[in-house]
Amino acid sequence: MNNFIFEGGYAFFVWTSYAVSLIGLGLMATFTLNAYHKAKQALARLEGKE
Amino acid sequence: MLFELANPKRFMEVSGPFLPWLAAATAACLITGLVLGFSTPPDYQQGDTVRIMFLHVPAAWTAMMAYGLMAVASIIALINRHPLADVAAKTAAPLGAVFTTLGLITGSLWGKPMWGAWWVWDGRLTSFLLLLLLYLGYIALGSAIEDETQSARACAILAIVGAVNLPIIEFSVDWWTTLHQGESILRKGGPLISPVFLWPLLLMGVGYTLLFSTLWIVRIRTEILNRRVRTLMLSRAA
Repeated sequence: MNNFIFEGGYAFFVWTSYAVSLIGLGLMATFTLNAYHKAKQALARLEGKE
Repeated sequence: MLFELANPKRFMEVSGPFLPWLAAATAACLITGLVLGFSTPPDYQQGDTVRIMFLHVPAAWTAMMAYGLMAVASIIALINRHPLADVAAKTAAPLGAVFTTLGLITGSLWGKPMWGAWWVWDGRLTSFLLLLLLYLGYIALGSAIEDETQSARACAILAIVGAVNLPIIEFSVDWWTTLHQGESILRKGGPLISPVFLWPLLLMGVGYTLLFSTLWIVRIRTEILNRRVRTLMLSRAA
C-alpha cells in the first residue's frame, strides 16, 4: 500500500498528473453535457410553445 | 456514409442510440487501462514515473488526432460546403485544446523528475505548444467574426494551414536534437516498449480516443440543437 501511495518517491509528479487529468477531463465532460441538456431544454420550450 | 450523415437530421437520428454504447466502451477502456497501468512494475530507468506515460501519450495522440479531424472537416466545409462539416470542425476545437493542455501539463510533470527541467524549448515541446496556440487562435477567430459563413471560412483556412504543424510534431524528434524520446511505438521493427507497459498504454489510448469521439458527437448534437433554437427564434421574431 505504501508503495502505491509513494510511487517510489515520485508521488507528487504521478498523483498531480492523475489529478490534473481527472479534473480536466471531468470538467470537459461536465461542460459538454450541461450545454447539451440546456440546448435540449431550450428547444423543447420553443417547440412546446408552437 | 460520411456524406449521408452530413444531413443534420440524419446525424441526430443515427448518433442518438449510438452514444450510450460509445460512453460505455469509453468507461470500460479507461477503467481497465488504469487498473492495468497501476499493476505494472516500475520501469528500470524511469521508476514509477512511467505511470505518467499512460496519461501523457494518449492525451498527445488525441490532441493531434483531433486537429487532424478538424482540418479534414475544414477541407470538406470549404470545398463541399456540407452543413455538418463546419459544425464538426468548430466543435472539435475546444476538446482538442483540453487534450493538448493535458498533454503539456503531464509532459512537464514527467519531464521534471526525468530531465531535471519542467520545460525546454526543443522541437517537440515547442511544436506541441504551437498546437495549443493554433487551437486557441481557431476558437478566438470563430468567436471574433459574427457572420457565420465568413467565420466558418476563416476558421477553415486557419485549420488547414495549421495542419502543417502535425508532421512537424510527429517528426521533430527525428529532425532535431531533443530531450524528448524518439518514436517508440509506431515504428519500423515494432514497438520498443515492453508489452507490460504497451497494453495499458494502448487501452488508455483507445479510451481517450473514444472519450473524444463521445464528447465530440455530443457537442455536434448540441450545436445542431442550438442552430435549430436560433432559427425558431428568428422565425418568431419575423
